[in-house]
Amino acid sequence: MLLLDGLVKNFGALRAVDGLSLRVNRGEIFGLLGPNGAGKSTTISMAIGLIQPDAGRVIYEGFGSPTQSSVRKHVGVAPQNLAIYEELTGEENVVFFARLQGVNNPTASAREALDRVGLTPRANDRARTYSGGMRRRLNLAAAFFHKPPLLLLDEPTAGVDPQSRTNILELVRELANEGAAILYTTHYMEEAQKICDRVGIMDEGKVLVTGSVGELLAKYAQETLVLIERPGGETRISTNDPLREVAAALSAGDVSGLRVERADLETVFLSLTGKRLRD
Amino acid sequence: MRAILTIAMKDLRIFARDRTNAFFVIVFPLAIAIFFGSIFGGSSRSIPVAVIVESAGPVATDFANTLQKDSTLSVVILPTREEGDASVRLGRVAACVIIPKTFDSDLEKSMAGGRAIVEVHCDPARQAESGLVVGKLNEHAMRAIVRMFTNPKINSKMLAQSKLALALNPNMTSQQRERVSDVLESVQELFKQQNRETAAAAETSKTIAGSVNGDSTTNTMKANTSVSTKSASNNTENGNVPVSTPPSATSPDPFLALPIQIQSSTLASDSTEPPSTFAVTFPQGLAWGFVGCIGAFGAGMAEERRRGTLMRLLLAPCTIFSVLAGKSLACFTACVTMSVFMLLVATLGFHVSVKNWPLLALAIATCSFAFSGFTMALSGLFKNEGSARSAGNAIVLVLAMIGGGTIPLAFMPPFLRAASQVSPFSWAILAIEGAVWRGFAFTEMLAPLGILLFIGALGLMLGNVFIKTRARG
Repeated sequence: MLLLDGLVKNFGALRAVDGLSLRVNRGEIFGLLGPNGAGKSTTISMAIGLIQPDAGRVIYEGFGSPTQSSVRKHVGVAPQNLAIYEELTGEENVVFFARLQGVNNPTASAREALDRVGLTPRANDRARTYSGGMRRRLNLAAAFFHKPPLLLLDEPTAGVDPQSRTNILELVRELANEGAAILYTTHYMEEAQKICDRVGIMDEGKVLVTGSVGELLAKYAQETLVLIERPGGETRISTNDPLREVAAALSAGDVSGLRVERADLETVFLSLTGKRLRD
Repeated sequence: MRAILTIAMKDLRIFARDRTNAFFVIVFPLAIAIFFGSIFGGSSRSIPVAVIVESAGPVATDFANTLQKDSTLSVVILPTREEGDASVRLGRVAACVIIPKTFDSDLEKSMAGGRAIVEVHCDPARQAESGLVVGKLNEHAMRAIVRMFTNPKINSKMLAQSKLALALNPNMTSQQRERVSDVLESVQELFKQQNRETAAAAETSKTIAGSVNGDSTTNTMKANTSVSTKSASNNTENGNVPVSTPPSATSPDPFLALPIQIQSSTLASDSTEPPSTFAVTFPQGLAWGFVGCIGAFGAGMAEERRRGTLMRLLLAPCTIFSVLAGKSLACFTACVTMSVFMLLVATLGFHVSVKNWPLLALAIATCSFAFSGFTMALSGLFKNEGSARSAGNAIVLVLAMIGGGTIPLAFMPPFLRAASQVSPFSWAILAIEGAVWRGFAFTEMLAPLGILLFIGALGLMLGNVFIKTRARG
């Protein structure tokens, strides 16, 4: 559905995106992970046609290039900043965007979207009175009310409580199941691990790896950490065969505690991007 | 168009829900209008005055020359009274002084009750200045009378004309004519003596360094004054009041009037009542209303950008121009609504009468277009909301102040008056005043309206360019 092919974008001497290529298919959630300044937001801006790439192309398969405004109506975006009007009610916000989109029945579409994010009881309250989680859900509702085939969600769960996060993640999954192609950026690795069908890890404007979470774990995080607690202290063993290490520790006796930590996406992420601070 | 209307409706809804907007768009302008309306007054320095000299006589020419030499007046000589009145209506001068065609001939009959009228058409917005102009005219009239009575050629002719007028006056009895004629003979004798003395003094002054003209003038003035007072008083005591009706005099008691009479009127007032000071201050209040609207909508684009909603609008899909046009329409609607509200308060609450409603509607629409365009230029000029608000407000406040929003242009020094031409507020105030009380014809409205339309169109164009440039960056 979404094809980014060899995208390059420079801001003066800074190369923000450097030959980025990826594809997001229908019904797929593609997680784009990367540290701050990796080029994720620039990639999204190019993906929706608001920034022209210096090289490469963006194609919505079956529709065309998003530089054409008629093509852009096929994408829904939930930006990281809460792109809503706080002075308007939840319903007014979504109805406004629905009218601009030319949706046949803006009010009905808005109500349906608000219902899916659990905001119906507060639909007629001004957005300024909403909690952080409710604003995030409204931000999401304003992205999918017109059921676009492509959704770009930029950190849609930033700063929300566990209930709102669960609601948002379930909804994103539902939307993908309904056929939407979803490009999902986040800093929460467990979140990406939980809902993304495939992920791409990018740094310094380049996509370093892409694949399913399982594939990346198998390739970049084979070792498991076994922690053995004894009266004398804790022993940490990094191994490809944790069962053997656990069995050996138990047979040696005097074990007061055991913990096995499996490698996760964060391990992969850090192993690929390093631990250097990116401020 | 649907996108433009939808964005405009959204912006107006947001605008209406912000109470600070209500303060700056309604309360503050009202306060300005009422405050200045209540305390309106004051004075100025060099007062611009248009002078029309219809008479070719020596006294009229001399009178006009003395006005030109007066440092408190800034005189511009215009050929016709129509042009003089137009200058007042357009606010270029505080008053128009007309020295009529019959000025000299009326003065020549002053001994027989004739009086020369100097007409002054005042700008009702500049009453303090107009009062000063009338005062200065009275002063110069007195001086002109003194010069007239001490000029041998003029006073001889004046006596001859007065005698002739007396002989032809059908309203006087022969007894009255005889008595006044006696008085004129005495005056003639006095003039002859005085003229001989003046001639002798002039001869002396050729040989003696220095001039004594001032003393001579002063003495003569005293003598003439005493003679006039005496003769008038004698006639009154006898009960034989010679009635003469000067052609254009309106004073109820001609014998108490000076030979030159200053007759002032408020130019724009065809009705019996002069325009209320609120008619002057409400246009200023409207200017502050426009400032409020610019403040409310000026940061709109930067705000959309900061929120991230601009991205959504552009994905909607809307063009930058649609977004800008929608915001401009919202600003225009707010300006019109504010203007209508202010004018309702002015007309219903403060009895401001509007001279030309259609022209006023045109002026309001044009002003609203100009300021909505101006707002869009400001909106596109600044990248972030903070600078859009602070720098934008600073620019607008300065323009409003030099444009006459706070202190009327008449009270400003000349360089500020000249600078006010660059402010859209000065043109807006002029256009609204033109329709409310200056009595502008449509052709006179063309200049301010044309300039305002140009400002609006230029603002929209610049706003579009700025925002597109920023979007590309």
